[in-house]
Amino acid sequence: MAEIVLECRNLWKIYGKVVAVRDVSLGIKEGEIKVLFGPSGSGKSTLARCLAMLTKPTKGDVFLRGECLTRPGVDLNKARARIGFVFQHIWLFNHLTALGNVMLGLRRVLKMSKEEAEKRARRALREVRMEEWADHYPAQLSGGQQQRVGIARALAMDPEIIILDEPTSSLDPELTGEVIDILRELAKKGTTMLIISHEMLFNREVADEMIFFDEGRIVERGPPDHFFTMPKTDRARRFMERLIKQTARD
Amino acid sequence: MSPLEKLTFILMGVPTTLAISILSFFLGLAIGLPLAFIRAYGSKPFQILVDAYEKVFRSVPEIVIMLFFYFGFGSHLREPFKNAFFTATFVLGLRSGANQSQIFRGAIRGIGEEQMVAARSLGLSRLQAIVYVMIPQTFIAATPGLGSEYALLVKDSSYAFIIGVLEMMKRADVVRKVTLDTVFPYFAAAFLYILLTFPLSTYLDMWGTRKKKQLGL
Amino acid sequence: MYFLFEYLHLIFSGFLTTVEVTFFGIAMGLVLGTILAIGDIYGGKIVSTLIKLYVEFFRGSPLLVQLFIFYFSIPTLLDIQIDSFTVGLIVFGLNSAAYQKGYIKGAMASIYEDQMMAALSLGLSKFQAIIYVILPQAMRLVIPAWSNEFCSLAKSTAALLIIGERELTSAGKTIAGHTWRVFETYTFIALIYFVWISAVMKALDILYEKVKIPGLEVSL
Repeated sequence: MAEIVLECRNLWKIYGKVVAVRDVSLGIKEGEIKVLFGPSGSGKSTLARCLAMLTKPTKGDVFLRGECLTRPGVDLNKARARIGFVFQHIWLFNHLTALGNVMLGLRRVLKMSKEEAEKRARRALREVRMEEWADHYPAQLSGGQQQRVGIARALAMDPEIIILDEPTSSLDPELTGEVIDILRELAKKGTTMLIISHEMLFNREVADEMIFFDEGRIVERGPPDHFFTMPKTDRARRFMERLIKQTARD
Repeated sequence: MSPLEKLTFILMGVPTTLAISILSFFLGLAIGLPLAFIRAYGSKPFQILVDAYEKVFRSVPEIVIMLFFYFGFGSHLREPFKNAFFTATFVLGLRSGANQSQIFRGAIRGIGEEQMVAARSLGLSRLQAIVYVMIPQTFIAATPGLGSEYALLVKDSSYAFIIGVLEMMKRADVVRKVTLDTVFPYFAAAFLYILLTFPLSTYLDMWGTRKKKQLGL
Repeated sequence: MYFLFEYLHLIFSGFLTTVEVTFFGIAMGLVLGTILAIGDIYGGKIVSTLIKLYVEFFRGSPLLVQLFIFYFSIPTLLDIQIDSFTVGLIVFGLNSAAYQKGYIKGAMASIYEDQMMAALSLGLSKFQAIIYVILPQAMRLVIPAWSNEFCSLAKSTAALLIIGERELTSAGKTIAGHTWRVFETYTFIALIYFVWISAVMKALDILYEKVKIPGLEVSL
């Protein structure tokens, strides 16, 4: 049985009076791809950020390879370096070229030499087919290209898991394909991933498990085909119908 | 005195004027940059302190503060305030710190929280994120504002005249008193001040604006 | 601090001078600055070059130089006499106009094109469009920048002491000279500046909130 890489137990996140995540337990195993989907504002992004310890959970625990990250005194910077994160709105560093974006973490967190960092960064850019664009600034790249650099930035750190928070939803429809292709390749290589995505064809193809998330909790989970054929809950069924209609329209 | 002699006499004040301006600019930088980050990321009591500091220097005249330090401390022959050059530079530096804090804070706000989150997601510490991600962008975004601040300091360095520093303004005034020429020295001084401020601040404004556009800041 | 009571009349009359010069400067700057802004946008090449020179002179040179020029040089050149108070009114008005022109032009430019187009499409003349459509919006947008301009002008009126005008700072200097209570005197003077400037800025904040048009904002 494969080892669990990242896991949360009884996780809560509360902002003032709003409960964004309520009592969620979830684990991602080595080589596994889990897809999280659900209506906007359901707390998916918050859950993803809690798992990456970018936001402190209000209650509950997060474990990275069995090590509890929610205890006081844990070096969270080290932990975050082991968890890749790709943002919905990309968030490249504006003052650095594509290469500089990928090198920053390698140099300053993994403390690599300049040469070594550059070599590794170029390799990561090659994996996302952006090596010719290495010297361009983010503002000079298209949204799809920027997101590929965002993926390379996470990938280069050689993380144990990559969390992708709706990596294609801020892109124009004609640009999502190039990003999806890259993700497909990552999936083939057996990269451990938690993906928030509503690209249902892609989800069906790569996911080991899909999780329907609504109002801060897991409503229903199962293999992809389960959702495409016979979701148990009303809410999931209605959401799937709407998504499929929308996909057909596109 | 021929016009050339008058001009030369005034020109000899340029090093002092520039020294006051440049030293107070860097003192202001050393104060303003940390204050801006404290204001943006510090705890509430510190934010209030920074606010108060900015408000005081925004609304109390530099001249009053110079007189306060120079005659308050200097009259008792207390180092270093009895040195008028020091006092002028010190006061303008404090004032510039308040201005630069505002300039940098505006720049930080424009860059936004997302750059910070993205940096932390790679495992950078808060301090590393500030040093490697926030500060470089802050400087680029702040360049036009810093250019105007430099020009402001060159102009305000003339207040040092009031506590007796022999800079350009004082020299122009000396020429008037000695030669009773009430026209040439002041127009010459005005021209020289514009020459010291206009080219550099225009260049910084253009460079900063272009760079900001290129980086989408 | 009780010794200051003896000098209250001096402080008060100095304060009045400071307030008068400040408000006059702001008002004259607003009127002249608006004219300059319109001239710069619509006036053609020569007018706009002249305006640029004017602005560069008043923004690029120190206030002290400007005060000396109007106190010593101009009277010599024109063979007239100007008292220091009038010099203050003129210099701070002209100086503030140079700054306010920039803010007003920025605000006008930010709303100019499509609003102008819409106004012209109704049959308004260009001049009517400026008066009824562009300026009412620009004046609202300019208030925050205007509040900063007020603040820096109010505080820089202290420079008047070098031509011997008896405003607030020079009153302080006189008192400090008589009493040698330097710290207390200047602290009190600083406090007066702080309070009155903060109060007016607060009032401008409130004004801005009252008149601002929802959704129409600009950073100058």
